[in-house]
Amino acid sequence: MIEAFFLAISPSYLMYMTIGVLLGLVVGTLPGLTATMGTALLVPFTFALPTGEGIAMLGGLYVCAMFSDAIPACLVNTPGTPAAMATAFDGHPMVKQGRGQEAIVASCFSSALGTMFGAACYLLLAWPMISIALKFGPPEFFWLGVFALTIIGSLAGNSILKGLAGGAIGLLISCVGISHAAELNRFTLNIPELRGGVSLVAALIGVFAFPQVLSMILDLRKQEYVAEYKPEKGVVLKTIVKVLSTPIHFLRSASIGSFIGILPGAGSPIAAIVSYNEAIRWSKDKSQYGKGDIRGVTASEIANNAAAPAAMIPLVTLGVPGSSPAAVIAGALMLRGLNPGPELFATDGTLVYSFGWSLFIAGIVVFLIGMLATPLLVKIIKIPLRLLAPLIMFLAIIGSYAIRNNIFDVYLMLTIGIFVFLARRLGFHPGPIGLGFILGPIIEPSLVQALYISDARGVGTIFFSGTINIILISLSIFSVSAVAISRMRSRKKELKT
Amino acid sequence: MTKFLNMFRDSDFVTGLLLFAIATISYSGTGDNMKDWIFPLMASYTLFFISIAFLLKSVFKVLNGKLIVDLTLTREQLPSAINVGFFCFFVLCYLFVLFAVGFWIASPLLLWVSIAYFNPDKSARSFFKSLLISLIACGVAYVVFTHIFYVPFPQSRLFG
Repeated sequence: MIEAFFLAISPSYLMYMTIGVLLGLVVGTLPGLTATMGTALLVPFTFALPTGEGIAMLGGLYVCAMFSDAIPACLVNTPGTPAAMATAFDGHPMVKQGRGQEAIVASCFSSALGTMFGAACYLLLAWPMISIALKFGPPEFFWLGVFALTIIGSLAGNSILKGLAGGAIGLLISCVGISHAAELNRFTLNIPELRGGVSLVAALIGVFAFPQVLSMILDLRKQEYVAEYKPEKGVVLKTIVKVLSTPIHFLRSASIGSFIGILPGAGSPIAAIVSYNEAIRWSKDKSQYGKGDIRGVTASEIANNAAAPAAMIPLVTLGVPGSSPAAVIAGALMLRGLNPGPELFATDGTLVYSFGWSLFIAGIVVFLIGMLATPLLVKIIKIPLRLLAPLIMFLAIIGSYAIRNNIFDVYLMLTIGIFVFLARRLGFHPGPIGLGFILGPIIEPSLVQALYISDARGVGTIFFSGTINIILISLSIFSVSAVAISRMRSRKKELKT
Repeated sequence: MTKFLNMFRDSDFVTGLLLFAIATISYSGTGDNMKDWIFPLMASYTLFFISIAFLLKSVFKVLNGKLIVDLTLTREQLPSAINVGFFCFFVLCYLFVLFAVGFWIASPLLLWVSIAYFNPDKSARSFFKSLLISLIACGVAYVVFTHIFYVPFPQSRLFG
């Protein structure tokens, strides 16, 4: 492992990893470009490099995209990738309060910490963690998804019923396309383009970006900018101290992120959502979440970044990638004749460990580059709304088109966007709709697979037995009850005052 | 009659109607295979029950004379709503024009028209500035998407 460390800090490793980080900054910031797309596009360029440097570059891009997606999420309420959805819940209100720099610094620093924690798990705890992850089957994934859905209680705003309805609408949109069991067309309205389902990225741009642009236009007469730009001296240090002053919050978010990261198929978006939910549940003062609480930003960013290196654990231990970018990295290794899995650990341990160290160092590089870029990035809010709204719309259209090179995705994005904009007028929060859309593809296949297994063993045995199932069911019930009790208490308080 | 019409300006009633419509449409689109439809059915039933709750709430509000008329468009809000309408129109036009004349004419045009439309200063200088910003934005997007990330942009059907 020491030999691998020295390899990871060699100039060539550092240089290519930094190039990857810089590309990741662009990929995450632009809505429509995802970490998967970025790593896939970078693979051909890595062929000219030695294997170690090549995968270090891909890893650098992946972890930095998990940070930079928070930039548009905070500044203009448009997550750069689905993993930053939970970051926007508190990041954008922070920007609106004139705390834009604090939001970006908090995202950057917590992303760096999360990445380093995830990489440390990769280097030290890969085998024990994978033994727990192997116990996750379809019913466990189903309950994990249900548990993540309980965050709706915290996101619903004034009406929990509207939150639930928004979540159900998101889940319904995620059902469009070919079904998981008998491969039937569902809700495709005989439109061939809908058979492949609704593009996650296009739908999320529709849920968050387009309604945001329309709201900006609606506000044009009242305000000139997204928020007031108030640069503050010493904000970087203050924010870092704030993040470091909550070590339990950090450990909880990082552990959740790392653990969910190793579950194949779950990935950074689920990690961020679950972590955000847990941050609220364990917090003494829940009232500030969703209104610009820095802990909301850090919970999401620590977890989604910790999940990125952790997603490499099943890849190097079992040969099963934990996320889509990890699958691309697996492909890059296979194209070089290397088989990811226990065999690679045994035959090329230095490569496996040097990759882990590269991911760890990438966390530091992300922080340094993020800190250099923050003063420039925050100035986006100094762009007048009359310029910013058309520019975001232009990027939203190009981003929706870019993901599958299909204009139909742009039409879908616009349709969803107009629907969400009007739904917002009715008091719906876009968060639950996006949440349902992200969680649908995790919950439904797990439910269908578990139902197939239950044909032989019974529904009760499959869904309601096993330690992990019982823990997840209890946590879900606890989470829902906690939200209900806290809402009842706050309503009583309101009535009294 | 006024009471009945006012119901359509109560957000709870409109929410109930909207959710009921979505639930009905999704329910009518479901099939027989339980494993294929259990998940959308669960979501549809959820929407159905919530819509009933909102509709009942509105009926009680009408009976108690506590109907809240919160879906209104004031005179002050009208120009902003018109702006939103115009912007949506620009975007729709852009999507049609994009395939006809290609990225390099349609995109700067969308940006230029939108920026100039929202700019209160209608002088020749500000029009020129808007055009310059549009061209720079399109240039940057073009280089990043097509030359760094190899995303092919739609080609013009008229000019190839």
